[in-house]
Amino acid sequence: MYTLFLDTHGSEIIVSLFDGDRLFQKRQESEYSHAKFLCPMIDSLLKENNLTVKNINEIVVINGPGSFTGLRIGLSVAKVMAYSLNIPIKVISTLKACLISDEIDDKKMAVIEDNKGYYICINGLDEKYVEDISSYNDYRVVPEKIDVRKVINYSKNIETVNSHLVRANYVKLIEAEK
Amino acid sequence: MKDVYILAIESSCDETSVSIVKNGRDDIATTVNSQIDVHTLYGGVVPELASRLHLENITLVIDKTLKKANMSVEDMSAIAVTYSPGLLGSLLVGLEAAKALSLVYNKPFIKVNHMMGHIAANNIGRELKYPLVSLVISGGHTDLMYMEKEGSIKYLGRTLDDAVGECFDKVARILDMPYPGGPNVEKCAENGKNVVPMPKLLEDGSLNFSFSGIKSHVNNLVHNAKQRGGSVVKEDVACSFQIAVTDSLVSKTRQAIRETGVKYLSIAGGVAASSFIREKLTKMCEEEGVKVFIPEKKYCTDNATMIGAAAYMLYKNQEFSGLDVNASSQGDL
Repeated sequence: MYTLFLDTHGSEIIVSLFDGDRLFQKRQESEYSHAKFLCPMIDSLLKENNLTVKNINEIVVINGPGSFTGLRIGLSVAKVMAYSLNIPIKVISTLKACLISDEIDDKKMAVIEDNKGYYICINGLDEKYVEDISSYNDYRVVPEKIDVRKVINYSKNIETVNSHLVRANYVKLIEAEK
Repeated sequence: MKDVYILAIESSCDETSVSIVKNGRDDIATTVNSQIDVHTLYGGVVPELASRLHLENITLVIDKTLKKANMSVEDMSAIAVTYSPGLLGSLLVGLEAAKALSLVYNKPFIKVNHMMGHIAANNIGRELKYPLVSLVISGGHTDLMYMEKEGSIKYLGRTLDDAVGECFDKVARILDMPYPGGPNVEKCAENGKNVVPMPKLLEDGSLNFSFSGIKSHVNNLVHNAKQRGGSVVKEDVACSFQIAVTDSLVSKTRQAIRETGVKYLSIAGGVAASSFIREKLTKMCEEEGVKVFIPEKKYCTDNATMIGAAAYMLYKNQEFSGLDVNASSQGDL
């Protein structure tokens, strides 16, 4: 059985299938058109490996921070698939996924930049949104890269969420709420 | 032909809706989750907030609808969804949810234009007759179209600026009434008199509309009264405004009926839920000897039943789409 992994937080879409040993994967650069690619990527990844949705027994999805629209595209697909296949779903933060994917275990932080500031996470603790990161110079910034094997293995320690309750990890409030 | 069941999803604005429609006519089960209470706090729809709420609610609304119908997605002949026009972030949640269902259950996927959905609302529980003139009045549209037969569309006229529903919402705001404006203006107008002079709306012989002038006029009335330390009689302004706008809708639609010589008029869209506007347009149709089709009020405002009804027309012609369809904020029929 396979874990389906989805990441749509940034400009590269990742769709993977992992059975604990073999990793099948598709990556696609996409600027503002994740909706065009995501479902066809899942469909062809399954077909190319002679699998069907019935071979998926779990979903792991990146839930943010990142592009609000990108995240919602991935999460809508992930939660509807988990709901309709009646399989467990786990969500993991983009920042935590980047920290997990990084080799070295020292003072490190994950950073995702947007047009006004930075989403940060230090040593896997609190996530926040700041406009200035100059006060965090002591920390090494890990690359914004996701190692799918590591993230899926790590997800074994995370609790399953009810598919109806899957939400994005926006971190930031929207203007109207401030 | 075997009965066709379509599961339809609509999320183009601030309503998350899912419906199961049989043969494009029968509403087997529909759920509409309105976000109106949330957006009322901000005086209008906040697009980012709308998208967030769609994502939170989408599977719950699907689940509730299936349970009401006592059916499974397995029983469906196809999955349909609104892909355009609307708020991009909102559309995308429903679009991707529908694709995921189509992928999981290996069902044909049908993309539906929201405006076609509004028109198809007139097929629910009965059958539209052609050729007809179609008036679509909503928060985003004021369109007059000629339809010779199902699916064939020729634009006769449209608004040059604000949509009629948008104009109602803005006037409601100027008059300090909460969102959504239409029902509140209508309610307020019931206690008013048609005594406030309103400007003539676009009379250029065309079938186009213009509502920005009357909106500015109301704004000026309120502003001038305030500057003189007074205030307007809201009920009278609402009443006079509503009559002026309705007169424009009635006269242009009458003109379209006469120019095309049709015997049927289809009215649809959120503004068609207004009792006042329904009544005036119906009266005009009686005078012209034309049969009018107006959906039940619950099928005028955004709902997925109408999307299922429109999808059925596409299903009959096997007009299916791939899973690479993108949402689009603007989209003519």
